[in-house]
Amino acid sequence: MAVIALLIFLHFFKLIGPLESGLTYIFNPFFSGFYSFSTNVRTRVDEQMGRQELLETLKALEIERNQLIADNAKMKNLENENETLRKYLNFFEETKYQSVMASVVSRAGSSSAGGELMINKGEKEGVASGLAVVNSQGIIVGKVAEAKEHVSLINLTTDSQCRLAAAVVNSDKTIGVTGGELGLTIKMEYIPQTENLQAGNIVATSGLEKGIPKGLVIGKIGEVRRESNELWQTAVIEPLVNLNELTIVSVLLP
Amino acid sequence: MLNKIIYFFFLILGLETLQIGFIGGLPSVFTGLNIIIIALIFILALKDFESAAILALGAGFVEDIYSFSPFGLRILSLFLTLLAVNFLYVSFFTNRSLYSFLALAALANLAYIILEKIAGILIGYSGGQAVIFSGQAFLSSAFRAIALNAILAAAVFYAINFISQKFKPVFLLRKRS
Repeated sequence: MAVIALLIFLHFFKLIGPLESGLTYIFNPFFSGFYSFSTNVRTRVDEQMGRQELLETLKALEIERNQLIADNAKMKNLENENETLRKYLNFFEETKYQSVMASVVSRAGSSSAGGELMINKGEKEGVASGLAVVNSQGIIVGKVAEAKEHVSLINLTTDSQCRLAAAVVNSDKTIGVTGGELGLTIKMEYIPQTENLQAGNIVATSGLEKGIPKGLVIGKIGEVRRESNELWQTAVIEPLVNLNELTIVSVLLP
Repeated sequence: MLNKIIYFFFLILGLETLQIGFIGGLPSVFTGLNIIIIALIFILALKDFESAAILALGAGFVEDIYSFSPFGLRILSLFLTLLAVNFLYVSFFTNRSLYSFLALAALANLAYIILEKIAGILIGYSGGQAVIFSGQAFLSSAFRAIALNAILAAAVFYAINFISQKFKPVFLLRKRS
């Protein structure tokens, strides 16, 4: 007990900071390597359970579709609409965003639905609470919940803790707030009843939130819930990426 | 001394890589698996309390570095779980049979879940959950974790039995004159 009390005391006064940093420096490659391995195992098992060939085709088409949706949504939000499509394909090179690439170390937190990820980059690398986390296609997959020195906790978009200021990419530019629902889908709330939403509309970040740029695709509207006696309407958004397969992500720096 | 430090460093590295890295990536059904607790039980049985205590402190320390709950929660929970397991092992489950290890694994897991929650309440952290000990989701995940860890303990028991004599029963045969 005395040892535990001493460790807690030393931690709070940051006297064992170098030891903690050293351990994370040594342990992180092992953790991310094994996480990647177990994610591959899980993905393989999932694929084997269905019709493999169909899944592969579906997956290829899904990636292609997501890329096109991301490019399309970004195009709509860019001031200069004359930029060529080639620029959109290289998301990180061509945009003004600065980013930090990170490997997923583990799934973490109390959420049983697996709505939280731990990445191997932290405050030392510029990661801070509230920043956007995107996948390789530039689709937002979550938000930094908390950052330690060398590791950070990410709330995925399907986690109820992840709230994002969002806009529907249509002519009206509807503004609402998204939040995860049961770790599976995303719910967009506080949309005025007067707004005309339709299934299939693309939802992207509105840019009204500090640290989250405008135009990052969140997902596609699957269902619109409209009650005549309610002040607001809600929409169920389907994520465009399989959040269980993430092994490498990028944090967009301000 | 140096050998002991190196031994425990690599043991903790291996166990935590499996716990945080490997199990963390498996489907959510398996996230209740707690390799550290199973390792504590078998080290307590195969070696001694001191070795198990070093493992509990070391592994708890690493888990606290990677945890976003207040520092000390995991070390405290693991160490208190070890004390509970040691008490059960010395007082009730002394015969090193499969059933003893199954019972120890289940009770240790239950103790860890309860102690982690109590420690969380005591230091004012509830993991973002308003309700601590109720809810069907909590109960079902707790029971699933206990069952999974009991299965893991059985697998480890048979594996050790296969490669060593340590858990095999010893019979004293009376010579016929």
